[in-house]
Amino acid sequence: MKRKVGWFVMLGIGALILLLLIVSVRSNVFAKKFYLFVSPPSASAFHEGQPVQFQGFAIGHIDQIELQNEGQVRISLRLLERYRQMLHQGAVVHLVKEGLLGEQVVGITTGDIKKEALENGAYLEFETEASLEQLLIDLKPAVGNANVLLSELAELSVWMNDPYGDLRAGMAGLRGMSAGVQGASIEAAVQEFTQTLAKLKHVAVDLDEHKVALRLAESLEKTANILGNIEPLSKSLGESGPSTVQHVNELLAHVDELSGALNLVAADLSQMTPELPGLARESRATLAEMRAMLESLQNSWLLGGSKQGEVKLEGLETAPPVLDMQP
Amino acid sequence: MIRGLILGCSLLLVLSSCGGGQHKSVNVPIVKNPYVQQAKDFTHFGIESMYQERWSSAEHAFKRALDTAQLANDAPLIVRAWYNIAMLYRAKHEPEAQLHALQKTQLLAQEEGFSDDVLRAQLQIQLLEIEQGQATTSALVQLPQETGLDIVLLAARVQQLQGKKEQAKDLYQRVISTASQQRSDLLYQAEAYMGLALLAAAEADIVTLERQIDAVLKITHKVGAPRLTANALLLRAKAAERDQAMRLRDLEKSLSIYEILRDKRGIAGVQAVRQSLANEQ
Repeated sequence: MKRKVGWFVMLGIGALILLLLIVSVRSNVFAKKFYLFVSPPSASAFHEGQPVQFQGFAIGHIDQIELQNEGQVRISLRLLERYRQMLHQGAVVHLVKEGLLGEQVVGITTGDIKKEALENGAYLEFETEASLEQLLIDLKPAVGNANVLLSELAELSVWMNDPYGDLRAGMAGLRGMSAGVQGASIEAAVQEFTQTLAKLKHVAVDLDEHKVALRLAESLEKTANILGNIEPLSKSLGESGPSTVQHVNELLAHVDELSGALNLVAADLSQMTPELPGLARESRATLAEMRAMLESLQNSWLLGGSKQGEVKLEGLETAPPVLDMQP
Repeated sequence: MIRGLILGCSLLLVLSSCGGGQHKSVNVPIVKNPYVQQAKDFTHFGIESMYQERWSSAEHAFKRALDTAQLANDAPLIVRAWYNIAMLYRAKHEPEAQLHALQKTQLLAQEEGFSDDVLRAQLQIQLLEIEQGQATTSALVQLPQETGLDIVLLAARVQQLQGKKEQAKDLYQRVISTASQQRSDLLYQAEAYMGLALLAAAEADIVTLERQIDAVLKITHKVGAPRLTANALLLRAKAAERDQAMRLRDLEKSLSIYEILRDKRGIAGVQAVRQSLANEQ
């Protein structure tokens, strides 16, 4: 009798185990997982357990949302290992809405299929598929930053057009040094830039939000072209000698300042991708180009990038020398 | 019953071990030395305080910058903190403490190969020695092309006090022509104009003096440097060739600034000029 009862209990437990196993396999409990990370500007649209979709298929969920020391949001995505080979470098994470009023889910794109598959622990970029209300919120700082940019550009314009200023004097030096060829190129660039400024001043008059954004993108592209003209000039200077280094450094400092302002604008524009197709991508590409150019310039001898040996403490603030010039 | 319990327990054990293996947390922490950032923040705050002549705030900030730089074991920050402390003592007219801080700067900068800071410390020590009426220990070394503007300005002042007028003028001109539109550079530019004005006053070149003083006042009005403004006004008031009413107006303006700043030496300077004006009448 006891043995029969024992068999019966064993059978029940076996059935339970089988049931548990079937459920576990179907819900991928035992499937191998991998982790990806993303740092969106805010965690407000996310929650732990939120599904992650790839091409409409659920491939994992949000495992953890953390606020790091620097105030940066870090979201850990726990995804099924079998889909890892389908996700390549360049993949981005975005929020997508299921239907017009549906819940937002986390989407992930394929990335560049020519590149390698993503590794466990990789960081992905975050892109917002902005909703209409978000667009309106985002447009405000964009217009504000456009004003910052305009004032920066206005200052730059005054500086460039000062007949006794460093730029004009520097250009005279450059012309003498590079037999007019590169000097003419930078002069043409400056003229083009001045025309762009005139356009921007016109934009300042009518602050129709969409137009501002569109015209800013155009200006960003033109600015990048100008920087493109400056770059070969720096190379030719490298062969000729360092006598006008100071003037070019001045110019670079202004370009750097400008790129900072453009960065703000591009950051805001990039939030509007879906509603203003192509615009943010274009701006971002232009900005990346500009950054690359600036980096190469900073590494050139003009800014002492290739100089070895002496240690410089650039970037650290120094107290004024206190000369006490009382008569 | 006991068998059931054992089976149940083993089942739980098996399941938990299966699940446990899968949860692998990947940590990609962003690590930054907090003391480095603190040292930079204190330095920034200290320099801002110095510009506004809030010495006790600047002293606190620079000392905290040194502490945090030492906690971070960051040689560039430690060297710069010692130099900034030296400048604070200079502003507070505490020459012994200033010399000690400058010697620390020089020693550490030499050990680490920070050429600019070695030069800064050397020039400041020379300046101190000249001001105390001692013979300077070393001659001015050739300044490299990319030297910081504050060093060029300092070298110009040393040359001026050593009576090497032409070299001083060249260096002041270099500061003026290479300064950017940043606040610190504008202040260096204003001091360079003041240096040229002092040289013009020594040569009794009234036209140059007035031009340089105008340039000083234009910049100090833009960036805010009251002591330099008062010094410039006092220097212009000293020029005997100018109209007396204008000289008196400059004197009154400089006196009000010196009084607000509680600058006894400045007030004494104004009173001396006022006395000489009265004697002229």
